Amino acid sequence: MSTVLRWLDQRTGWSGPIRTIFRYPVPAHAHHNPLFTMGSLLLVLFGVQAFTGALMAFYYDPSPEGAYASVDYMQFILPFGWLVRGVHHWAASAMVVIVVLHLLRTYLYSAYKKPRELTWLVGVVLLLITVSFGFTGYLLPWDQKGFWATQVGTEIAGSVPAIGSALRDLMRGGADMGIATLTRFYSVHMLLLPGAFVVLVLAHLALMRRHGLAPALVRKGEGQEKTVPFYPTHLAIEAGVALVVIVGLVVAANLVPAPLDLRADPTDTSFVPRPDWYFLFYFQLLTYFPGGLEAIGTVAIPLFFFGSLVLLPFIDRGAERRPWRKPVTSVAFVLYAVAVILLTIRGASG
Amino acid sequence: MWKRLVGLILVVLIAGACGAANAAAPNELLAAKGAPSSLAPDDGAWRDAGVMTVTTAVIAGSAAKQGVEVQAQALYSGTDMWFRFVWADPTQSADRFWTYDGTKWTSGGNEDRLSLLWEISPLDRFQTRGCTAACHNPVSDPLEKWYMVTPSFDARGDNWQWIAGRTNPVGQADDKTLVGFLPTATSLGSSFVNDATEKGGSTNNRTADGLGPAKMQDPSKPASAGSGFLLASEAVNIDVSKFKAGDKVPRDLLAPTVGSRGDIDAKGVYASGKWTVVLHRHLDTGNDDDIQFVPGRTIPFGLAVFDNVSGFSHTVSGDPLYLKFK
Repeated sequence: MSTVLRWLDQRTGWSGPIRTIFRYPVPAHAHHNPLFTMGSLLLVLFGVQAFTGALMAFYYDPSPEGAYASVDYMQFILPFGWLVRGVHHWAASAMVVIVVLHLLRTYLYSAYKKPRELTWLVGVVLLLITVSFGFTGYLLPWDQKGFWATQVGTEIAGSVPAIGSALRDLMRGGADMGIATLTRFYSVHMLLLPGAFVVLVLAHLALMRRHGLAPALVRKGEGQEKTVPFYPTHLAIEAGVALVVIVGLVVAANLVPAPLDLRADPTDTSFVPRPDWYFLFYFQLLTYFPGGLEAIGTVAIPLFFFGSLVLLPFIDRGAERRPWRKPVTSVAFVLYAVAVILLTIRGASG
Repeated sequence: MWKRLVGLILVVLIAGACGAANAAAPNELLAAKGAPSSLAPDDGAWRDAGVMTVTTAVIAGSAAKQGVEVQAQALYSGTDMWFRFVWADPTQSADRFWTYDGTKWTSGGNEDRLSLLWEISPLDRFQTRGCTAACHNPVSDPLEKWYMVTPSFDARGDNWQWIAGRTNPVGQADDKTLVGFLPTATSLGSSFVNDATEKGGSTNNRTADGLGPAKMQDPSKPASAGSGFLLASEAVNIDVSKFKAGDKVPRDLLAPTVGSRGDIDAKGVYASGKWTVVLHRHLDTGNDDDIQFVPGRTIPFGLAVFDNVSGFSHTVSGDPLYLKFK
């Protein structure tokens, strides 16, 4: 084996980059804090999604006539199809949870501050891409839930002033939902989003390696502290966490199979749309802005929310990194979190 | 600390998975795990099955005056599926007879019936509108245009008909297929075709000229299906000399069906003004003219009750019903 690897190394030089990656020194505080495993866990989950998604693509028929039947076949007939789809379903939710935890860790450690502003910005875009995976994937079974949630989602896009109808038509591939909508969502879900995700993750990792992990919170600035090698010490921790999560996904897929609602009926206007749980807060928010106030919910608040995330590194520029010494950003963080949690709870019970 | 977080992630995932399990809605028949030891209506296994109560609606053109409240239950095992239906009916009707007046025969009589409709291939909008979308043309159409047909040529429904006088005595329900075309455009219900039959099946008990019964109970054998029912295996050619005015002979020669048409076992018992009907079938029959039950699927279905009728007049579940699996 080693002869083969040496032969390959002499011709490709692969061991150089690999050594560089594995020799990375991990600060001791990060090694002992599980929140610092969230980034790599996201990579693992993305790998799980890519693998299970590719398996499902073997059988998926991206047409309104065939989509439901093909997903039904995977779920109920194809051996282990339920497991592949179940893991894909639960991993999608897990990705949202983990990406939010990753963002919270970055926020709490003030890891968005100079010189890591770009790392943060790329992370915010990755957050958007992660939830976009959920939005586009929700439609693909072409069941009642996915169809009507997408109908509402694209209507929301259509309410954006000036460009709304063009945006909605772009998403749907026309004025109404149909085969063009499904193929667009499939293409975006399978090709554009994964491609963008991979490129941005590489950029994110490169920036992370360039500037290192955020320092411990116990002091101002970036002093020296003890480190442990990424390989094997820290990698063992990350691999352990990833293994536990993957086992958890399999258990979840066993306990509650991925849902498949009834076949979509575009004429059934009585269906009450419900988004996936991570969009509930947004759906609930929109109920507070009816009629002429709609644009506040559909445009102004999301712009403010994501705008504040984007601008955060350029607003909070002080050297202080400890949350308890930064009351403004900490209070804002608590308000955001409480608002999202409360809206989600209300949306779930509504 | 990381151990605690890993534990927390597991707890959240499992709790989320458990929390996602939902209870049955009013129009959902939630099949429970269990296997009755027999088709007896009072089998203890039914105690574990939830009850869906549905009130049928009177459809245009039907002679029925009001809907019927039907209680439905379902059980399933790894290989089989059972259903139990209970509904009030003041009269037990299973009396299809030829009546002799001393010189000639006249036919008459009606029977009670329970009908279920499932999808074999997708029936457009059946999953959201139920029977009103799947097998009935608009109720505003005049009665003479009434017919049942699936919404498109290639769409097929699986129709089960438990019939008090013709299928119940042989322990079966009639398994038919609702198709998307009308072999005979003028006849009501003509788009029902029988599932594949290998042998057996009930036939009309009538002479070639259709003026009277062809068979009667073999005097040397007891009527094992009960008085008023004539099994083909116990029938002999009729001897009119043995009959006097007012005597009756069953209109049907009953025999169990072998083949796809006969793969639903049934037992209906009438007591205390109620019918209790238990149906049993394999989850997967392997026949392409049957619905195949796969636990986990949400399966739309429709239900109809016929009270003392010989034709199409019935009440039907107006809203779609859904079979789900615990």
